[in-house]
Amino acid sequence: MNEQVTRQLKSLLDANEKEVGFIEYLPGETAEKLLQSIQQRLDGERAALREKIAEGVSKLPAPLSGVARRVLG
Amino acid sequence: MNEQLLPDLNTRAELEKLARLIQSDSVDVSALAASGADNLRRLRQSINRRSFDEHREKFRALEKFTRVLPKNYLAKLAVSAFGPMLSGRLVGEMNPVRAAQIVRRLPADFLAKAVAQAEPDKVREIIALLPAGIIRDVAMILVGQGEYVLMGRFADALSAPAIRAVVGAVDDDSVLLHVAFYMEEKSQLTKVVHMIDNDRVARIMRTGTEKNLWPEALSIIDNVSPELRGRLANIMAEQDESILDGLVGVAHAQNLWGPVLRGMDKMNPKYYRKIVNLPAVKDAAVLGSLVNTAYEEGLLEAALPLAKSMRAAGHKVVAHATLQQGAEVAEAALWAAQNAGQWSVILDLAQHLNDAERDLIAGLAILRNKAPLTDLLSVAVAEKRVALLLDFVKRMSPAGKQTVAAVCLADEDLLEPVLDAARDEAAWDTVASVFGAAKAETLDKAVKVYQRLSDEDRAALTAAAKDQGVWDKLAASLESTAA
Repeated sequence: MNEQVTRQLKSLLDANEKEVGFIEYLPGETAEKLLQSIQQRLDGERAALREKIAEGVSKLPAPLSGVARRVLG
Repeated sequence: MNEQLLPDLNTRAELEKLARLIQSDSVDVSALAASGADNLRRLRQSINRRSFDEHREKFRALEKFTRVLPKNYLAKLAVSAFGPMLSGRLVGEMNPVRAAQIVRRLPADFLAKAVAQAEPDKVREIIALLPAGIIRDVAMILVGQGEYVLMGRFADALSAPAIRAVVGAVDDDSVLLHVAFYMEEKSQLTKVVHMIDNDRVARIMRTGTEKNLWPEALSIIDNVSPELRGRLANIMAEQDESILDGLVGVAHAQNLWGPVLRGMDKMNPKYYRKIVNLPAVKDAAVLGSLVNTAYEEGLLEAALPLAKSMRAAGHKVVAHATLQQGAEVAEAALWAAQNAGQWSVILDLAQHLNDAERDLIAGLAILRNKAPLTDLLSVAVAEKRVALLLDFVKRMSPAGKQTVAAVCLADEDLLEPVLDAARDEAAWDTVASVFGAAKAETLDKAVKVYQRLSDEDRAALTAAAKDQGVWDKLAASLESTAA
């Protein structure tokens, strides 16, 4: 029923059948919105982390900020 | 959410946790309710895992780099540069012992923000190593922010001193009920409750009943060991009748009969009478949903002793409400009576059934099975209620009557009371139809019984057998026995 959404969710979360297989049995619209919400959640977190990394690195003392920028960059 | 379709308590908690995690208004998480708590939990855990795995390598590298920094200095950098989000990620990649040593040096308000950003499984390892005072201070900040879901994520990982420190500092028992409701590892609730002194536990449970937090209180009862479940259920049962009447309304409206029945199953039976005779329990719709849940959740055996404690008026309502659920539920109720040794309750209820309901019972497959029929008849004999049972036998199919014949004719102690009841109730027609349905190998026993009857009884049975159209069969056996 929602094979495509389930496949996408497996790929997005690097999850197995046991973890997300039940999505196949959800109403189509619910499954799609859930996928979108999870995608947005991960995207939002990625953006927030980028921002916090830039902010944090800039506040580190000079010798440390270079190393931190390199490993977190 | 539609109240009629409210999911079980663990699923409700998981729905709220998922809604909080994905922070989306576009998806109605209640549409996921049918997926159940386990599926939702696995989904939530995979979202979390993905969220941390995606950035793990970066923070592992940062952690390696920070190993050379003194702990005090790193703690200062956490506050002045990294901030709660990066610090939460960083601490999760540390050895838990070093992580705990650094965390001890951080202010409580900073930790309250960082803990929400850290990987749950890693945090659980670290907080077990932290002093109770730090845990208490952070917990009090989270309480002030209403962060019960977050607190529930780690509550069961706390040490005993930390749990006591937090419980001692939180005066509002409803907070503790909320946290327990969202606890990540509910299987650990027994251990957690045992760490709290008995008086406080009693106060917490009473708060659940007084502040309309029944779902939260029932969630605790439903997730602790059977022994503790009984103890907590007893505390709730000691409340005023008006409060308990409120529970019935909530259990009915929110589909909470499962936890209620499981709690009552372990409760001291001395409270049964008080609870089952509450005003709200007399409502047919309430009892119908209770019976249905008991059937759906395999709790009929737990429900039957409760019915025993009801007054006659209650028996009548339960009897009709049960039969309204259909033959499948009725069959299951009788098997529950058989398995739990509760035929006496069935007889209490059976006396209130109308003709159509009695016909339905008489047609159930369980009554064509020798073992339950023998046990039922034995209870009816012991309680001198064979006449009631005969009315059901009268309504049975020939196959059912054949089983009755086999059971009665195999045991004189059962047969004699049946004949006594037939005589007292002028129910020879039922006995005649039972004998007429007997298999050939048991018919000779029926003939012997016939022969030893008094003249008066024999005449009545003969007339009834002729009336029932089974006399020819009995007469043939009589002749062959005589020959």
